[in-house]
Amino acid sequence: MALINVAAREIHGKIVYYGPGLCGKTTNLQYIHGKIPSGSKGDLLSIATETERTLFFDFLPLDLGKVQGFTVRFHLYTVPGQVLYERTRIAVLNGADGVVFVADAQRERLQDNLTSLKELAGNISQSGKRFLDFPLVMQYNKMDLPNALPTPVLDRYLNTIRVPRFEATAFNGHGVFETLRAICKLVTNKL
Amino acid sequence: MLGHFDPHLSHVIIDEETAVSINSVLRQLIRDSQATSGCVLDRAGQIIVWDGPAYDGQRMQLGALIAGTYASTREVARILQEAGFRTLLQEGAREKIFTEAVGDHWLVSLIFGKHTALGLVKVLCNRATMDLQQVLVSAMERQIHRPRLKDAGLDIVANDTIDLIFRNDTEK
Repeated sequence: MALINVAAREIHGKIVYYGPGLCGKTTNLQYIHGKIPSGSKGDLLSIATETERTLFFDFLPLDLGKVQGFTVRFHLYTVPGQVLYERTRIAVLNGADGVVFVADAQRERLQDNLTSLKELAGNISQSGKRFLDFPLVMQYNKMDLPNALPTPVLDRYLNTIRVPRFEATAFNGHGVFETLRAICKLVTNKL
Repeated sequence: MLGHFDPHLSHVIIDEETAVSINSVLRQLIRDSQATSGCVLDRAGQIIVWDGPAYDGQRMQLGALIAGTYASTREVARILQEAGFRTLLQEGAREKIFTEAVGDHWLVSLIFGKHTALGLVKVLCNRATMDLQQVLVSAMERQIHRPRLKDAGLDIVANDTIDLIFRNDTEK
Protein backbone atom coordinates (compact mmCIF):
# COMPACT_ATOMS: atom_id res chain seq x y z
CA MET A 1 0.00 0.00 0.00
CA ALA A 2 1.11 3.54 -0.64
CA LEU A 3 3.04 5.27 2.11
CA ILE A 4 2.08 8.83 2.97
CA ASN A 5 4.76 10.21 5.24
CA VAL A 6 3.32 13.43 6.57
CA ALA A 7 6.38 14.05 8.72
CA ALA A 8 8.76 13.84 5.75
CA ARG A 9 6.17 15.33 3.34
CA GLU A 10 6.53 12.36 0.99
CA ILE A 11 4.14 10.04 -0.83
CA HIS A 12 5.52 6.72 -2.04
CA GLY A 13 3.73 4.33 -4.38
CA LYS A 14 4.81 0.96 -5.77
CA ILE A 15 4.00 0.00 -9.34
CA VAL A 16 4.82 -3.48 -10.64
CA TYR A 17 5.19 -4.43 -14.30
CA TYR A 18 3.85 -7.97 -14.61
CA GLY A 19 3.57 -10.31 -17.58
CA PRO A 20 4.96 -13.42 -19.25
CA GLY A 21 8.63 -13.91 -20.00
CA LEU A 22 10.14 -11.74 -22.75
CA CYS A 23 7.03 -9.57 -23.06
CA GLY A 24 9.01 -6.34 -22.57
CA LYS A 25 8.70 -5.42 -18.89
CA THR A 26 12.37 -4.59 -18.47
CA THR A 27 12.37 -2.78 -21.83
CA ASN A 28 9.63 -0.48 -20.49
CA LEU A 29 11.77 0.45 -17.47
CA GLN A 30 14.90 0.86 -19.57
CA TYR A 31 13.08 3.23 -21.89
CA ILE A 32 11.65 5.25 -19.00
CA HIS A 33 15.07 5.40 -17.36
CA GLY A 34 16.61 6.63 -20.59
CA LYS A 35 14.10 9.42 -21.10
CA ILE A 36 13.34 10.79 -17.64
CA PRO A 37 15.60 13.72 -16.65
CA SER A 38 18.38 12.70 -14.26
CA GLY A 39 17.03 14.82 -11.39
CA SER A 40 13.77 12.89 -11.40
CA LYS A 41 15.07 9.34 -11.28
CA GLY A 42 17.41 7.08 -9.38
CA ASP A 43 19.65 4.37 -10.79
CA LEU A 44 17.98 1.49 -12.59
CA LEU A 45 18.77 -1.54 -10.50
CA SER A 46 18.54 -4.88 -12.33
CA ILE A 47 19.02 -8.26 -10.76
CA ALA A 48 19.38 -10.44 -13.81
CA THR A 49 20.91 -13.71 -14.94
CA GLU A 50 24.11 -13.85 -17.02
CA THR A 51 21.89 -13.92 -20.09
CA GLU A 52 20.19 -10.69 -18.99
CA ARG A 53 16.88 -12.31 -18.11
CA THR A 54 15.32 -10.85 -14.97
CA LEU A 55 16.16 -13.10 -12.04
CA PHE A 56 14.59 -11.18 -9.18
CA PHE A 57 13.42 -7.72 -10.20
CA ASP A 58 14.31 -4.44 -11.87
CA PHE A 59 13.82 -1.35 -9.76
CA LEU A 60 13.54 2.26 -10.83
CA PRO A 61 12.66 5.05 -8.39
CA LEU A 62 10.90 8.01 -10.02
CA ASP A 63 10.44 11.39 -8.43
CA LEU A 64 7.39 13.18 -9.78
CA GLY A 65 8.10 16.41 -7.91
CA LYS A 66 5.91 18.19 -5.41
CA VAL A 67 2.13 18.02 -5.12
CA GLN A 68 0.64 20.28 -2.46
CA GLY A 69 3.93 20.28 -0.59
CA PHE A 70 4.39 16.52 -0.79
CA THR A 71 7.19 14.95 -2.81
CA VAL A 72 5.57 12.20 -4.87
CA ARG A 73 7.72 9.16 -5.59
CA PHE A 74 6.83 6.06 -7.53
CA HIS A 75 8.94 2.94 -7.28
CA LEU A 76 8.71 0.93 -10.48
CA TYR A 77 9.45 -2.79 -10.35
CA THR A 78 9.37 -5.62 -12.84
CA VAL A 79 8.84 -9.26 -11.96
CA PRO A 80 10.78 -12.12 -13.55
CA GLY A 81 8.45 -13.46 -16.22
CA GLN A 82 9.68 -17.02 -16.59
CA VAL A 83 7.27 -19.67 -15.32
CA LEU A 84 9.63 -21.09 -12.70
CA TYR A 85 9.85 -17.79 -10.83
CA GLU A 86 6.27 -17.76 -9.59
CA ARG A 87 7.18 -17.45 -5.91
CA THR A 88 9.57 -14.61 -6.72
CA ARG A 89 6.75 -12.79 -8.49
CA ILE A 90 4.64 -13.05 -5.35
CA ALA A 91 7.50 -11.58 -3.33
CA VAL A 92 7.92 -8.62 -5.69
CA LEU A 93 4.17 -8.04 -5.91
CA ASN A 94 3.99 -7.65 -2.14
CA GLY A 95 2.72 -4.18 -1.24
CA ALA A 96 2.11 -3.08 -4.83
CA ASP A 97 -0.27 -0.15 -5.29
CA GLY A 98 -0.77 -0.70 -8.99
CA VAL A 99 0.14 -3.13 -11.75
CA VAL A 100 0.93 -2.73 -15.43
CA PHE A 101 0.20 -6.01 -17.16
CA VAL A 102 2.47 -6.17 -20.19
CA ALA A 103 1.06 -8.58 -22.75
CA ASP A 104 3.09 -9.86 -25.68
CA ALA A 105 0.84 -9.19 -28.66
CA GLN A 106 2.31 -11.96 -30.80
CA ARG A 107 -0.22 -14.59 -31.83
CA GLU A 108 1.77 -17.51 -30.40
CA ARG A 109 2.07 -15.83 -26.98
CA LEU A 110 -1.66 -15.50 -26.31
CA GLN A 111 -1.81 -18.53 -24.04
CA ASP A 112 1.25 -17.32 -22.09
CA ASN A 113 -0.48 -13.98 -21.57
CA LEU A 114 -3.65 -15.65 -20.35
CA THR A 115 -1.73 -17.88 -17.95
CA SER A 116 0.22 -14.93 -16.56
CA LEU A 117 -2.90 -12.77 -16.19
CA LYS A 118 -4.72 -15.55 -14.37
CA GLU A 119 -1.75 -15.96 -12.07
CA LEU A 120 -1.71 -12.21 -11.39
CA ALA A 121 -5.41 -12.20 -10.51
CA GLY A 122 -4.84 -15.13 -8.15
CA ASN A 123 -1.86 -13.51 -6.48
CA ILE A 124 -3.70 -10.23 -5.89
CA SER A 125 -6.74 -12.04 -4.51
CA GLN A 126 -4.55 -14.14 -2.22
CA SER A 127 -3.01 -10.98 -0.80
CA GLY A 128 -6.49 -10.05 0.42
CA LYS A 129 -7.28 -7.46 -2.24
CA ARG A 130 -10.12 -7.43 -4.76
CA PHE A 131 -8.67 -7.90 -8.22
CA LEU A 132 -11.55 -6.05 -9.89
CA ASP A 133 -10.90 -2.95 -7.74
CA PHE A 134 -7.12 -3.10 -7.98
CA PRO A 135 -5.40 -0.35 -10.02
CA LEU A 136 -4.47 -2.16 -13.23
CA VAL A 137 -3.44 -0.99 -16.68
CA MET A 138 -2.82 -3.25 -19.63
CA GLN A 139 -0.19 -2.75 -22.30
CA TYR A 140 -0.21 -4.67 -25.58
CA ASN A 141 3.46 -4.69 -26.46
CA LYS A 142 5.21 -5.61 -29.72
CA MET A 143 2.33 -4.32 -31.83
CA ASP A 144 4.85 -3.51 -34.57
CA LEU A 145 5.51 -7.19 -35.28
CA PRO A 146 3.77 -8.79 -38.27
CA ASN A 147 2.39 -11.63 -36.16
CA ALA A 148 0.81 -9.30 -33.59
CA LEU A 149 -2.85 -9.96 -32.94
CA PRO A 150 -5.18 -7.04 -33.64
CA THR A 151 -6.23 -4.96 -30.64
CA PRO A 152 -9.90 -6.08 -30.68
CA VAL A 153 -8.79 -9.71 -30.46
CA LEU A 154 -6.44 -8.94 -27.57
CA ASP A 155 -9.24 -7.01 -25.88
CA ARG A 156 -11.61 -9.92 -26.24
CA TYR A 157 -9.25 -12.43 -24.60
CA LEU A 158 -7.18 -10.34 -22.18
CA ASN A 159 -9.16 -7.29 -21.23
CA THR A 160 -12.49 -8.75 -20.23
CA ILE A 161 -12.58 -6.51 -17.16
CA ARG A 162 -12.10 -3.43 -19.37
CA VAL A 163 -9.20 -1.69 -17.67
CA PRO A 164 -7.33 1.10 -19.50
CA ARG A 165 -5.17 -0.47 -22.20
CA PHE A 166 -2.49 0.83 -24.51
CA GLU A 167 -0.83 -0.41 -27.66
CA ALA A 168 2.94 -0.24 -27.41
CA THR A 169 6.29 -0.94 -28.96
CA ALA A 170 8.39 -0.60 -25.85
CA PHE A 171 11.82 -0.74 -27.49
CA ASN A 172 11.18 2.53 -29.33
CA GLY A 173 9.02 4.03 -26.59
CA HIS A 174 5.67 3.95 -28.34
CA GLY A 175 2.99 3.69 -25.65
CA VAL A 176 5.45 3.47 -22.76
CA PHE A 177 4.73 6.83 -21.15
CA GLU A 178 0.99 6.67 -21.89
CA THR A 179 0.92 3.43 -19.90
CA LEU A 180 2.96 4.86 -17.05
CA ARG A 181 0.88 8.01 -16.90
CA ALA A 182 -2.34 5.97 -16.69
CA ILE A 183 -1.16 3.73 -13.86
CA CYS A 184 0.27 6.68 -11.89
CA LYS A 185 -3.13 8.37 -12.10
CA LEU A 186 -4.99 5.26 -11.04
CA VAL A 187 -2.74 4.87 -8.02
CA THR A 188 -2.98 8.50 -6.91
CA ASN A 189 -6.76 8.42 -7.36
CA LYS A 190 -6.89 5.62 -4.79
CA LEU A 191 -5.19 7.67 -2.07
CA MET B 1 -5.88 -8.06 17.09
CA LEU B 2 -2.50 -6.34 17.12
CA GLY B 3 -0.89 -6.18 13.68
CA HIS B 4 -4.02 -6.97 11.67
CA PHE B 5 -5.98 -4.42 9.70
CA ASP B 6 -8.06 -4.10 6.61
CA PRO B 7 -6.04 -5.41 3.62
CA HIS B 8 -8.14 -3.24 1.32
CA LEU B 9 -6.62 -0.06 2.74
CA SER B 10 -4.88 1.68 -0.15
CA HIS B 11 -2.33 3.58 1.90
CA VAL B 12 -0.81 4.13 5.30
CA ILE B 13 -0.31 7.60 6.75
CA ILE B 14 2.75 8.25 8.88
CA ASP B 15 1.92 11.42 10.78
CA GLU B 16 4.32 13.55 12.83
CA GLU B 17 3.46 11.75 16.05
CA THR B 18 4.12 8.35 14.49
CA ALA B 19 7.36 9.48 12.89
CA VAL B 20 8.64 10.88 16.17
CA SER B 21 7.75 7.67 18.00
CA ILE B 22 9.40 5.45 15.38
CA ASN B 23 12.46 7.68 15.34
CA SER B 24 12.72 7.51 19.10
CA VAL B 25 12.61 3.68 19.17
CA LEU B 26 15.02 3.38 16.24
CA ARG B 27 17.51 5.89 17.65
CA GLN B 28 17.51 4.12 21.01
CA LEU B 29 18.05 0.79 19.26
CA ILE B 30 20.99 2.16 17.25
CA ARG B 31 22.52 3.77 20.31
CA ASP B 32 22.17 0.72 22.57
CA SER B 33 23.43 -1.72 19.98
CA GLN B 34 26.18 0.61 18.72
CA ALA B 35 25.00 0.11 15.16
CA THR B 36 25.95 2.68 12.53
CA SER B 37 22.52 3.11 10.90
CA GLY B 38 19.06 1.66 10.88
CA CYS B 39 15.73 1.96 9.19
CA VAL B 40 12.10 1.01 9.47
CA LEU B 41 10.50 0.13 6.17
CA ASP B 42 7.35 -1.47 4.85
CA ARG B 43 7.28 -4.86 3.13
CA ALA B 44 7.05 -3.09 -0.22
CA GLY B 45 10.55 -1.73 0.37
CA GLN B 46 9.56 1.86 1.10
CA ILE B 47 11.59 3.42 3.88
CA ILE B 48 9.49 5.04 6.60
CA VAL B 49 12.33 6.29 8.79
CA TRP B 50 16.10 6.14 8.34
CA ASP B 51 18.53 7.07 11.06
CA GLY B 52 22.30 7.29 10.68
CA PRO B 53 24.74 8.60 8.11
CA ALA B 54 25.26 5.52 5.96
CA TYR B 55 24.43 5.08 2.27
CA ASP B 56 22.90 8.45 1.58
CA GLY B 57 21.81 8.43 -2.07
CA GLN B 58 21.37 4.65 -2.20
CA ARG B 59 18.78 4.19 0.51
CA MET B 60 15.84 3.68 -1.83
CA GLN B 61 17.71 0.89 -3.62
CA LEU B 62 18.77 -0.60 -0.31
CA GLY B 63 15.18 -0.54 0.95
CA ALA B 64 13.95 -2.31 -2.19
CA LEU B 65 16.68 -4.94 -1.90
CA ILE B 66 16.19 -5.57 1.84
CA ALA B 67 12.43 -6.02 1.39
CA GLY B 68 12.96 -8.19 -1.70
CA THR B 69 15.57 -10.36 -0.01
CA TYR B 70 13.39 -10.73 3.07
CA ALA B 71 10.37 -11.74 1.00
CA SER B 72 12.44 -14.14 -1.06
CA THR B 73 14.09 -15.78 1.97
CA ARG B 74 10.69 -16.09 3.64
CA GLU B 75 9.55 -18.09 0.62
CA VAL B 76 12.58 -20.37 1.04
CA ALA B 77 11.63 -20.82 4.70
CA ARG B 78 8.09 -21.64 3.67
CA ILE B 79 9.29 -24.39 1.31
CA LEU B 80 11.53 -25.74 4.07
CA GLN B 81 8.43 -25.73 6.30
CA GLU B 82 10.24 -23.51 8.74
CA ALA B 83 7.57 -21.86 10.84
CA GLY B 84 8.21 -18.51 12.49
CA PHE B 85 10.69 -17.06 10.01
CA ARG B 86 11.23 -13.46 11.10
CA THR B 87 14.89 -12.51 10.78
CA LEU B 88 17.52 -12.17 8.09
CA LEU B 89 21.26 -11.55 8.34
CA GLN B 90 23.49 -10.23 5.59
CA GLU B 91 27.12 -10.78 6.57
CA GLY B 92 29.58 -8.55 4.82
CA ALA B 93 33.33 -8.34 5.41
CA ARG B 94 32.98 -4.80 6.74
CA GLU B 95 29.35 -4.43 7.75
CA LYS B 96 26.40 -6.63 8.55
CA ILE B 97 22.70 -5.97 8.08
CA PHE B 98 20.24 -7.56 10.46
CA THR B 99 16.57 -7.41 9.51
CA GLU B 100 13.57 -8.43 11.60
CA ALA B 101 9.86 -8.43 10.82
CA VAL B 102 7.68 -5.91 12.62
CA GLY B 103 4.23 -7.46 12.62
CA ASP B 104 3.04 -8.62 9.22
CA HIS B 105 3.62 -5.43 7.28
CA TRP B 106 6.90 -3.80 8.24
CA LEU B 107 10.59 -4.49 8.79
CA VAL B 108 13.36 -3.01 10.88
CA SER B 109 16.97 -3.21 9.67
CA LEU B 110 20.18 -2.41 11.50
CA ILE B 111 23.54 -1.84 9.81
CA PHE B 112 26.51 -2.48 12.07
CA GLY B 113 30.25 -3.09 11.99
CA LYS B 114 32.57 -5.66 13.53
CA HIS B 115 32.61 -3.94 16.92
CA THR B 116 28.93 -4.68 17.49
CA ALA B 117 27.91 -8.07 18.81
CA LEU B 118 25.30 -9.86 16.70
CA GLY B 119 23.73 -11.42 19.80
CA LEU B 120 23.10 -7.99 21.27
CA VAL B 121 21.60 -6.75 18.02
CA LYS B 122 19.23 -9.71 17.94
CA VAL B 123 18.03 -9.22 21.50
CA LEU B 124 17.58 -5.45 21.19
CA CYS B 125 15.96 -5.68 17.78
CA ASN B 126 13.46 -8.20 19.04
CA ARG B 127 12.47 -5.87 21.88
CA ALA B 128 12.25 -2.89 19.56
CA THR B 129 9.95 -4.70 17.13
CA MET B 130 7.27 -4.91 19.81
CA ASP B 131 7.42 -1.16 20.44
CA LEU B 132 7.50 -0.40 16.71
CA GLN B 133 4.54 -2.64 16.05
CA GLN B 134 2.46 -0.86 18.66
CA VAL B 135 3.34 2.52 17.18
CA LEU B 136 2.53 1.43 13.62
CA VAL B 137 -0.70 -0.36 14.48
CA SER B 138 -1.86 2.72 16.41
CA ALA B 139 -1.09 4.81 13.33
CA MET B 140 -3.19 2.48 11.19
CA GLU B 141 -6.09 2.64 13.64
CA ARG B 142 -6.00 6.45 13.78
CA GLN B 143 -5.98 6.55 10.00
CA ILE B 144 -9.42 4.97 9.71
CA HIS B 145 -11.01 8.19 10.93
CA ARG B 146 -8.94 10.54 8.78
CA PRO B 147 -10.26 12.19 5.63
CA ARG B 148 -8.78 10.80 2.42
CA LEU B 149 -6.26 12.90 0.54
CA LYS B 150 -8.64 12.67 -2.39
CA ASP B 151 -11.11 14.73 -0.38
CA ALA B 152 -8.51 17.50 -0.15
CA GLY B 153 -8.26 17.61 -3.94
CA LEU B 154 -4.84 16.00 -4.01
CA ASP B 155 -5.82 13.61 -6.78
CA ILE B 156 -6.65 16.46 -9.15
CA VAL B 157 -3.38 18.27 -8.50
CA ALA B 158 -1.48 14.98 -8.72
CA ASN B 159 -3.09 14.18 -12.07
CA ASP B 160 -2.11 17.58 -13.41
CA THR B 161 1.45 17.06 -12.18
CA ILE B 162 1.61 13.63 -13.79
CA ASP B 163 0.40 15.11 -17.09
CA LEU B 164 3.02 17.82 -16.82
CA ILE B 165 5.86 15.41 -16.11
CA PHE B 166 4.93 12.95 -18.82
CA ARG B 167 4.26 15.65 -21.36
CA ASN B 168 5.07 14.99 -24.97
CA ASP B 169 8.71 16.08 -24.87
CA THR B 170 9.46 13.27 -22.41
CA GLU B 171 7.95 10.79 -24.78
CA LYS B 172 10.09 11.69 -27.75
